[in-house]
Amino acid sequence: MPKPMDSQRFLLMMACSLGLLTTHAQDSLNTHISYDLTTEAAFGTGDYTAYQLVTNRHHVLGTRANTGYTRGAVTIEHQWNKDWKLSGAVDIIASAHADHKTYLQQCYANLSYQQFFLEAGVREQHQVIRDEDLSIGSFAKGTNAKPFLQLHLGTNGYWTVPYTKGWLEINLDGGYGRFMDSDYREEAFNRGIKANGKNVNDKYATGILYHQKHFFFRTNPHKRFFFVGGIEHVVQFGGTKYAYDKEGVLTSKSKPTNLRSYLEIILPLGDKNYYENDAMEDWIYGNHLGEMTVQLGWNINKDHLLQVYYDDIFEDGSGMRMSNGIDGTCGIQYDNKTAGKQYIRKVVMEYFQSTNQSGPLHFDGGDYPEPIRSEITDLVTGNDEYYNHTCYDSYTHYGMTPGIALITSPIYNKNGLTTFCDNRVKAWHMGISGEVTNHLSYLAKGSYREGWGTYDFPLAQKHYSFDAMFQGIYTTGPWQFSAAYAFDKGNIYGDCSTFNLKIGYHGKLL
Amino acid sequence: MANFYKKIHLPSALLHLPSAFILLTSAFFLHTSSCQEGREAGDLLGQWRQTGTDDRYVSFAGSVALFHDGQGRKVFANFQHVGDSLMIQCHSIEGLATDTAHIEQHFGMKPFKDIRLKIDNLDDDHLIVSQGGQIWSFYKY
Repeated sequence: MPKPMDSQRFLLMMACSLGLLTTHAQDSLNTHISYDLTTEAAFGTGDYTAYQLVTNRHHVLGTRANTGYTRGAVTIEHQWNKDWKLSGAVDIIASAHADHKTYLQQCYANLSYQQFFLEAGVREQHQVIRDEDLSIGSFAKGTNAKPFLQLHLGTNGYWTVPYTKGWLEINLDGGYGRFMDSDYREEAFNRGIKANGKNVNDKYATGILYHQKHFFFRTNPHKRFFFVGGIEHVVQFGGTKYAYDKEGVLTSKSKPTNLRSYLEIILPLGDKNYYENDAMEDWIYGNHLGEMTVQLGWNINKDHLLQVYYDDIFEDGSGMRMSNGIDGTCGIQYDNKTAGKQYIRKVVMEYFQSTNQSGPLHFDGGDYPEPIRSEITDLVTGNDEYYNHTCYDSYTHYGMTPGIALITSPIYNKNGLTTFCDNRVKAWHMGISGEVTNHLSYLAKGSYREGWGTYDFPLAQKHYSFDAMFQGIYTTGPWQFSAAYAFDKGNIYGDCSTFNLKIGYHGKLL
Repeated sequence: MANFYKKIHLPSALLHLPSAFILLTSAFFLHTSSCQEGREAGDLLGQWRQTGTDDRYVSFAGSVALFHDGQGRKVFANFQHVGDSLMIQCHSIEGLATDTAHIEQHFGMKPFKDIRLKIDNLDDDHLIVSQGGQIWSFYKY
């Protein structure tokens, strides 16, 4: 939950924006106010709500077993003219037996000019190129965790570059923001203190700043074949690190947040003098991760599309140099764009791997004193420790990874550790959706994964889990009813069996 | 009855397929034919767990080896792989006697500064080394 002062500022800002909107609405037909009311309950057996029901839903549904929430959102859009539009929303969730009791899920204002936007606040961001319902998602800018507070600008979808005759489109976004979970991180750190007074955790960080950007380009998607390429990049920087020193005393160290630091993290060029500037601290300023994508689309005909893709993930320099084998996601997606009900609308099949991590070990003589610095002169920059970091502890937001949930988030750690304990994973995933009638659609997806722990702390026994979900969705007018069954089998989440019911209503005030 | 799929006119699609396939394959291999970090270790590259244990690991990358117990104790080493010979020279970061004991007693490989092993078997998943009749069996983990 954001600190009260922060949420009050946001609500005041949003209220002013919305007031500005309504008072300047010269024509009420250009102003639209809608609302969404949702209630959802998940109940069953096992320690957790089944994995597929929780994953890639912006952490709306709690991970604990037998949970539920009620959600209310108001969205306002005002179209000034054909080029300018101002919009905003406030979205609150109240949960029971959940990871959060009450949470301001979204609160933002968006100013759009044609296909470009400037946005401030907290908003659930959509997947740029991966299918939001069926794919395992993105390694860095995924949809698995609560959204970040940020100020960013970019394009509304793909923008056709002028003078290219429709042959080049780009999709870009970039901005700065902040992790809102400082209190959560501190509480989670302290939960690691055991009966003997020792803490299984050795550090945590607060006030972490956030930088994100993505750039994707594609050729004309209406041609028989088209190509998509691009990169997305996320950085944790700034903030204050709390860690135990050699005497076991918790000490703090703040990272710089001056203008230079904001500029340094845009391109991770590193500090060649890091030997002198505190070895093992900041060879590269900030925690950098992301993925690079190549994708080919085949329009079989006007109604059927087949795409194959490879998302090459990276965390730090060795991954950026593509030294981590085939770590990443290989996938194939089929889309049926035929109008009317289609038994099969979309199919996604993916293979994800994170076991290479640029090799099993990391040795840099600069990290160690003499004589070993001179005895071992080779430089090997492996053991990338996906999603973990020596300063920021973990790439999480309220305990959930914003990236690929197949790397089990620390919120599930029963041992109290706040880091990822199993980031060397191989997984196979499939999802399918379609319509049974004009009102009834379905979605089914399943994943099987194996995990070996981390290179530093391998699992004594390999992890495995099969997680699946079957969902039916009935839509009639403003109402939407959904029923689902999901289960987990394995030694990651245990055996979980969850029934899920959701009712939603979309209404218009103006 | 809902339409399931439509006939796909293959011939014209197939004419375009080779060039598209070449494009994607080239992009894929350009992307993945990267320089695997530590590839100088050759077939030894990777983390190996000693069979029958869960607290003895040896990793090889570049010309650096790492012995660890999966609980935080680490000893780095230089290594050379020549034919079926494997030579390892361990180094203690802080000059601790416990590091020497970790290698010579816990792993049973000695002496600390000059371990000489014979590789009896090495493939993608298994590594068997021996020294004076003593055999260590590892599998990729």
